[in-house]
Amino acid sequence: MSINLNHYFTEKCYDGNFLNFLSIHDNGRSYYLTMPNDGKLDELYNVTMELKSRQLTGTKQQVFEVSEQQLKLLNRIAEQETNWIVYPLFIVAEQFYQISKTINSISELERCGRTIHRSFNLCLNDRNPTLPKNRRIGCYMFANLEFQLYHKLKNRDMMKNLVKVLQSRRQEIPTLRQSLARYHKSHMVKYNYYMGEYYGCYEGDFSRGHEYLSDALMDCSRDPRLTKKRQRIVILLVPMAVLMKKRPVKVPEIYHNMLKALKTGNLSQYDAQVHKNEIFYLENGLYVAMSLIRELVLLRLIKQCYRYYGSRNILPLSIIAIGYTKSTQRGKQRAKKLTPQAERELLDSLECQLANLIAKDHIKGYLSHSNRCIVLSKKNPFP
Amino acid sequence: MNGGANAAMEIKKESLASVPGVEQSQKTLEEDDEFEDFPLDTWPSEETLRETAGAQTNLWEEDWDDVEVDDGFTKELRAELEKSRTQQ
Repeated sequence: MSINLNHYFTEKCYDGNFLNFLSIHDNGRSYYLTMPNDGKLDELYNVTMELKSRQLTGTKQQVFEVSEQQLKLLNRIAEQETNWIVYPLFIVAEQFYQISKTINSISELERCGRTIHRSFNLCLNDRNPTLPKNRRIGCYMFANLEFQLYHKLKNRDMMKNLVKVLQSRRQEIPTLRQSLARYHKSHMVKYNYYMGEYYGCYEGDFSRGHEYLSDALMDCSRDPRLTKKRQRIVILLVPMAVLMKKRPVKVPEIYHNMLKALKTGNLSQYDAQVHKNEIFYLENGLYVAMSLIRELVLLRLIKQCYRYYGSRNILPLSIIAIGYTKSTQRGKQRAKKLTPQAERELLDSLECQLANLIAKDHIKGYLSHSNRCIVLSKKNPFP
Repeated sequence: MNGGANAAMEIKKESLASVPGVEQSQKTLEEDDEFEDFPLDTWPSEETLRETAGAQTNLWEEDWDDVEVDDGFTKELRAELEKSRTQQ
């Protein structure tokens, strides 16, 4: 079967055959291009044909070089085209990324990143006033490729630059839901996941992290093939949600004790699970979130003290100290009798932690240092 | 100095690996570390969790402040605090 490539460039559309033509895998078809052009299309044709034959005979490095040339050429061609070219360009860019991954060298991955960034830019900077033909619909999908690359490179600065560009241009570009990604839901999920991870795990912006990650989850389907992806999202989402005062009903096993401790105000149980999962939390950028959740466990403990002490609005620090000592001691261990000095220090430390909770609006009330008590709002002590 | 820190890290990893459950969750996450390869490219909007009734409410509950969790810890805490209340 022989396929005429001319009409794609005259009709400004693509189909499966055109994508097959661009693919490195030779599918036994022959392609021909006869239309007169300024040479770029001929070059693309030759490079693509070379790529297909290199796949069979060349080294990984040779395949990489030709694949890079192919993307560079298509980038130059795409600059003159309307947005029909965006998806074929994405396929070529993704193919180049997959090839770069097999080489697994930093410098090659960086080269790949630079060329894909050009594809991203030629989408982002399209000034075509006819919006239905504007290439800006493609920027999220190329951004996803860049996110993947920067993950591989463990380069957070490049991620930061990318997010900054996307944020500063968000008035001009279509929303994710209006973009090409809407026909490829996996890309909507990916984009929201990477943004959520960026804000929640690296920038300490848990509110945005939570927003992006719950969007990522909501756009997944229930298909069992996506189970792993959903689980991965939930792993990052749960700590952010807890910090947003959402209460998860069901959590992955790793969070079982965290959740239990949060429901009872058990600080030693909380600390034990942080200790046990420390490396996991560090590797996944969740350690900061976990440190902040400890404050909510303490808050819960204070609520328990308040309730068990008869819900009076004046709560002596000595009562909180009893609860705190109970909560921080492990197992059946008996609380030791404190020296007056140690007792003073404990109350000072509690005052300090309570002041933080008041400042963060978790508690409504004020501290009386001279009376060593906290005076709680009668109406709404725990907003 | 560096060697010492690394050694400490190694021990930590080993002790983690010996805890059942932890090792498992770590392994699956390492595999999944790359969020990139999706087994499906797309799916119909009607099939997303967003469009599935009750997905949101199945995930989160409003608050559990009024929910009493009766475990060993809360029982002891309650007993101790109620004791000090009656003593005063």
